[in-house]
Amino acid sequence: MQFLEVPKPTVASGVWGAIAVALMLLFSLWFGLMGRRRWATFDEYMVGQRTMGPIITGAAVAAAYLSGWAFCGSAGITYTFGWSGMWFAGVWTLVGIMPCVWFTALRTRELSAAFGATTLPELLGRRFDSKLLQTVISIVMLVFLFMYSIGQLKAAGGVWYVATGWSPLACLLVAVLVTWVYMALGGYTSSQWAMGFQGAVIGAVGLIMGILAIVKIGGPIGLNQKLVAENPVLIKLIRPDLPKVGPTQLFSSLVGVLACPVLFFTMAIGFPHNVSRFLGMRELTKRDYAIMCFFVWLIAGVPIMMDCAWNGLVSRALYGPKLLKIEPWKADLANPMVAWALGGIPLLAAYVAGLFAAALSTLAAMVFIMAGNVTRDLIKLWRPQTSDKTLIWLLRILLGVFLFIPFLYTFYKPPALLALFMGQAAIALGGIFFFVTAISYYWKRATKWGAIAACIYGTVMTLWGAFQIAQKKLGMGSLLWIVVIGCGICYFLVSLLTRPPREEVLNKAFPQK
Amino acid sequence: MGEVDLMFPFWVWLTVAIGTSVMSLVGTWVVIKKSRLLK
Repeated sequence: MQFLEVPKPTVASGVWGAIAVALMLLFSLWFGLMGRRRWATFDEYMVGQRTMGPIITGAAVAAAYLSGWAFCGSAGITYTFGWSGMWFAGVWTLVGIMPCVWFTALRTRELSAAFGATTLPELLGRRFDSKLLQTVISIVMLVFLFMYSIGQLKAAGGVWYVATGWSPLACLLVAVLVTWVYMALGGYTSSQWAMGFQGAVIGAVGLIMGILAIVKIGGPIGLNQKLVAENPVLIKLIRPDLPKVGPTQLFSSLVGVLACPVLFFTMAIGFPHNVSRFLGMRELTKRDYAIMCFFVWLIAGVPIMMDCAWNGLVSRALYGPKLLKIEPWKADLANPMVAWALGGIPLLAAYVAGLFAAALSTLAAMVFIMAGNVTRDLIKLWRPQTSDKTLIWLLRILLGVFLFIPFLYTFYKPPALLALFMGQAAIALGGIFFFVTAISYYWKRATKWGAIAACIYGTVMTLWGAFQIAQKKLGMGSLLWIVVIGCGICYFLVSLLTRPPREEVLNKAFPQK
Repeated sequence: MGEVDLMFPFWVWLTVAIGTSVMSLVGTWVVIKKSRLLK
């Protein structure tokens, strides 16, 4: 079989890649700085003036949801495993993000305004009338968001190197500094505006690449003919030939394949960096709400479904298994190389910018929550006399620290223990916070002890499961079921056995009209 | 391998893509109709 030669970086690809990333960062900075002067107190710094409109909110939630993994790693999955990889590679994206908007957007806004809460743990702590719960939630979020954040810049750094041939050190450092500047100056509002812009970049690049890929390869018949010619298993929808334990369970058995939509569903609703996008949203009209949902669908829907499934497969059809032999990037090269083959250097440059947008937006959303967890949910909660000025400066420093750690890990391999848990952090955040956040918004009988039980169970089982998966004793799909079902049982059972919050708190959380 | 087999994964992908998009539309419509929180 004849496959394309893998292109090598040239001066032109380097210059165009650098220009595209520089433009993306400049516009992010510009959008971010628009929110610079829109705060006067610590509360406004944390959540703005609750005036964020539907377009920015919709684009920001899509950008927060779509990480560097979605824009790069998932195409690598279909490149490696063929069509069976699509179950885990974004085809269920709407099954997660749309219910996140339906179930959490309006209630997050309503509850945060009613209780004057500026972070998600604070909102939940007040809904359950419990400082203990606020503390537990903020610690659990801090642990799993930290794990999940460390790999965020890895894909961006790798693709930068492949496209330009230059070390990603300077580029990533500039990207992290620019992100810190607008976040530190403008807080929540700046982050939200920059994320809104980055969401638009991700959607546009994803859509263009997806359409070009289908056209270039000659439609589904042309694609599948090439895949079958290389290896017929590439067009199978389930791969029983792969191990049924470890991460490949998601493609090799029904237990794994069926776990994928549940993972997307719980993950998107449970991710605190998604739900927090609605904290500063203004009161919406029906028209506003429809516009917000349309933008979420437009960015996180079709472009990602095409990008994740098609691009990886088209890359496999064009390059064959060659990319798997290129150390250390391997299948992560699927998307940048398909961009290069489809649209030459200009599309490759746009893709690199899109990937930076995806990685930085998710990282920024997570970092802001982590810094808020420490300042608002731990320090301010237990030492309320701390001044706003001190808190803002501390938050700014923490933003820098939490942004800088993933940057360091991009160059120095994360410790094995941390890397082990990174992939499972999404299962934990989804399994725990689907119940603790979304169900608690609607179920009046929920109690703080039910929520704490779900937090403890989800944390312990995820840490245990990560070791089991690494030792190939457990499938990733099985772990998802164990965490989600177990968290649900703990949450409902313990809630029914314990006393709900005071009536006046419940009346505030569940107003009659 | 016949043409039908070659198209099968694509039809499954398309069904999921269209199905989840229709789900998005219907779900949004239901929230707009039912929610007390929209002006």
